[in-house]
Amino acid sequence: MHTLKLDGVSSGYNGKPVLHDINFTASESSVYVVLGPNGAGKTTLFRTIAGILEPMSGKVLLDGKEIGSAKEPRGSINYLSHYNALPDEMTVYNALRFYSGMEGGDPDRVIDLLGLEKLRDKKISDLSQGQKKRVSIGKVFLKERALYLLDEPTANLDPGLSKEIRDLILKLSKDRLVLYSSHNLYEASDIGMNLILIKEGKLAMFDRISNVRSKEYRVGIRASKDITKIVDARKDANGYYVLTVSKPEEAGLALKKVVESGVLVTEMRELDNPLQELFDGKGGV
Amino acid sequence: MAQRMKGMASGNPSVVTAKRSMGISKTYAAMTAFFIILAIAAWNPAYYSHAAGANSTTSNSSLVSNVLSKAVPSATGAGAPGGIAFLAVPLDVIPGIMVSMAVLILFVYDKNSGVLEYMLSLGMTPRDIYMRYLKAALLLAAPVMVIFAAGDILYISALFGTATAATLLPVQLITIPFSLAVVTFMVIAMMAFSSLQKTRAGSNQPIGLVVGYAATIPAYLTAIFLPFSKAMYADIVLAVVIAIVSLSFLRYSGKLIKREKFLP
Repeated sequence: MHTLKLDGVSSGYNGKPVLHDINFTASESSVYVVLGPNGAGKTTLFRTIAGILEPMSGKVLLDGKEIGSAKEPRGSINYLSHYNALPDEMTVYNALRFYSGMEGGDPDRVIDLLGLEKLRDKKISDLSQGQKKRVSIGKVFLKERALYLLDEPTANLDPGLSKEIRDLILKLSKDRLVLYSSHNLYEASDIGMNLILIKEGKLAMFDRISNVRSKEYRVGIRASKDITKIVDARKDANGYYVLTVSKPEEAGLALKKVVESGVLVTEMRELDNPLQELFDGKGGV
Repeated sequence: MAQRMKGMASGNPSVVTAKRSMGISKTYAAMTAFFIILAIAAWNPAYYSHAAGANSTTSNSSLVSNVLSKAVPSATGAGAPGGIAFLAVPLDVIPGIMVSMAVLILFVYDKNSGVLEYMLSLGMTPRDIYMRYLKAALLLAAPVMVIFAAGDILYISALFGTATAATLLPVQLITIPFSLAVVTFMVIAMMAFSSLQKTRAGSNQPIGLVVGYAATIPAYLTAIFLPFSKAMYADIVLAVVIAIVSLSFLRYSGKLIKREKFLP
């Protein structure tokens, strides 16, 4: 088990702080989703934790060791930037060899793991954006680390591959810390157990995603009959009976009432994502 | 084939960087060859013929050298080898600079593509990164300068005779360390200016080239104003000074240039 601690960290560029007094301790082996609008400071947070940017004040500690100029704790971190950081002139295999030469690891294992066999001898410059992203993600799996910092790892990937990558990351997170930023809120709630919300360079929330509560929940129900006379619902253009409740438990009670009326319920889903409200500044715990 | 490919991307980091540089900038390899030929066949014989006093060599020297031998006054008088032969030293760094330009192109490319950022995330310091590219530049420049010096000696022997070639040998021998010192200075200056540029399309890299080449200006002055033997020692001192300045900058580069300057 590993522990990442940020103690009063302020950081930025050219002497101008972007992050202000960030404090949190992440010690649960899981995915911590880092959310925040564009320019909030997510990438700056990752760069500071990775030791790329030196904090203007405060400390970043991994397992009690300060990450700064020391190489040892930084060797326990893998940072996937939203830049692909791939040498265009190399083949996929050589690019992975290039990085394994710097940090260790087995490129052949990565090629098998991410299904890169067909791309193995292709030049990076000849790959599509999605394929480049896939190879770039390969760097993450070269060597096992204590902490992974993944800045929008599934951007530009098709849904199928995104799912595969998320599954691999979830597997990774079983005994490691993973900080994962995404603009896809459904992906975030799907993969993340904990939430780090950054707004205007400040830590707006650090909590379990399950503790994130909405002021209201919209639930969509597909049923064999009209249920608007049984519960307070309206039918939307997609064929869902939309129920608006203030707590998730109320949705369960409504469903029970519908089923007890002899209506066959074929589908029930949450129509909104509580994380969306965090972006809009309405959410809370 | 797999082994060959493995060899290309792994192994000594500076060798890998040097190979990558040549891989992305083949034009610079061609330009280096062009300047080597130009220096050996054209400008060096001109200085050498003048410096050797143009005694037994007049019949063999080119029109250019004849013109030069009349136009440029010898600092030591007729018959003795003039310091003007050492004009070859600052000019002959050009092939070394040309081949190391490819490394600089790669440095900027790696900065823009996020490779340098990744290196920093692995725990490398700015100095580690500069050293990696500097060593690659020297790995390319050193053999180029040795081959160039050897070619120059052979051509001068054929053109003016072995006695003249032996007299001028210090010029070629000093050219190698002097060129490597200038290449070190120029590569560091160009990387530093590139690190500081804010926009991808910025033009700071050529500033580094100008600053780097400016280091050779004293060598022109020593060649013009000093006799052969003194010009020789002056160029050695210059090479040492340039190398010390470069390595001092390199030593303190971590403090002088912040890590954020390596980000895309």
